[in-house]
Amino acid sequence: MLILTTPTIEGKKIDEYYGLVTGDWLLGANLYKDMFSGVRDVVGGRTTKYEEELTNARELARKSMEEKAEKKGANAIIATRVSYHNLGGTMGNTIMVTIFGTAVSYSD
Amino acid sequence: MASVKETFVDKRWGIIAITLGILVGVFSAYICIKYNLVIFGFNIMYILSPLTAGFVETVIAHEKYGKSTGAISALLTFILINIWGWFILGYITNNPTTFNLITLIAIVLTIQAAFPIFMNYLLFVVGISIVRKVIGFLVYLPSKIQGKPKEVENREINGPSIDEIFLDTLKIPLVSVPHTPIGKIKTNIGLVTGEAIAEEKEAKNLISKLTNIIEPTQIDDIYLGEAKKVALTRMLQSAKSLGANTVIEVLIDYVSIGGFQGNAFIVTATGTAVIYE
Repeated sequence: MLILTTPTIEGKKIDEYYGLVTGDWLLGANLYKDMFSGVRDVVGGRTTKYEEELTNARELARKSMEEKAEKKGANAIIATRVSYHNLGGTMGNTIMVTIFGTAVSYSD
Repeated sequence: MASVKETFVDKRWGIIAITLGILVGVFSAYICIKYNLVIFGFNIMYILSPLTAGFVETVIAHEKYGKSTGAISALLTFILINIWGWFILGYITNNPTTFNLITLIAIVLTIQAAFPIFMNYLLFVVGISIVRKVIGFLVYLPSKIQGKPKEVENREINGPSIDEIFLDTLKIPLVSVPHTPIGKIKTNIGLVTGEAIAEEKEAKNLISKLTNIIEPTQIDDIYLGEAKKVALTRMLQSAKSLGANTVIEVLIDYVSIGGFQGNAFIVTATGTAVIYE
């Protein structure tokens, strides 16, 4: 599926608009990962585990948006926006990834 | 020298306010000691005197100085009283302070009175997260010893969410692109917004309440779809009341408003209301 941030598809004609599609995913703080990332924060070095989890969460959010678009019969999502939000107040150990766009079908 | 004198003249009411604050604070402490105002072995001067000092100082500063002096006298009174209470009193009566439960609670209360935000952070955030981690460690310890990998839940997307159903019922699909899906834009009406608050689901029973403490929040635990639907409905309603027949370039955004522990957030939907033909 074609996913773009632009409001049009260059060189292609948009046949039909299906409306907004959204996808969200939470990156819950796993206790183990959290513990060791705390240590790494003090010692130094990248918390690769967190980065992996973040990529994973983003992919899952995208996948759930794609599934919704597919169900409507779309073959592309345009004007897509991704954002990351911090949850859990001061403790702030949960990250929500949200993604939304307009489902369309296009042809040459 | 002249400039130093000028600043003193300028700030004389501020200095007077602070001095009077300390004097009143110390006087109230003296009364507390003289009449032995004690609750559970804890002299109320530790809380009362800094508060009185700060109150007197603020009132005078507002009346005469024109602005707040930052309750310096409250802090100074607090330090003075604590030096008296913990060290000098013990030295005079030859009865040094011993650390029992009441003394510890008294220390926590005095610090709480002086630095409320800092202490609340320690109690509610640092304290609870330490308890959380210990519980989590104990729960997952058996599987860690046996070397079993923790089961990774593969959550299926179960059915369309409320906002999806709502979006499907719309005659004209909402879009995030700057042009209308059908027809041409006749008039641009203007900005329309809609807000809703998404809250975390309450745990049903006691056991799930307990496991909630250690388990990370799932996406299902938040009324996200409902909040999105409400925000979009409100946006469409305000567009309709302005005479528009659709909204283009819709943006959905989330702002976390949870306090120390909460997971509530505002869902906002913004767009441009237009009339199309």
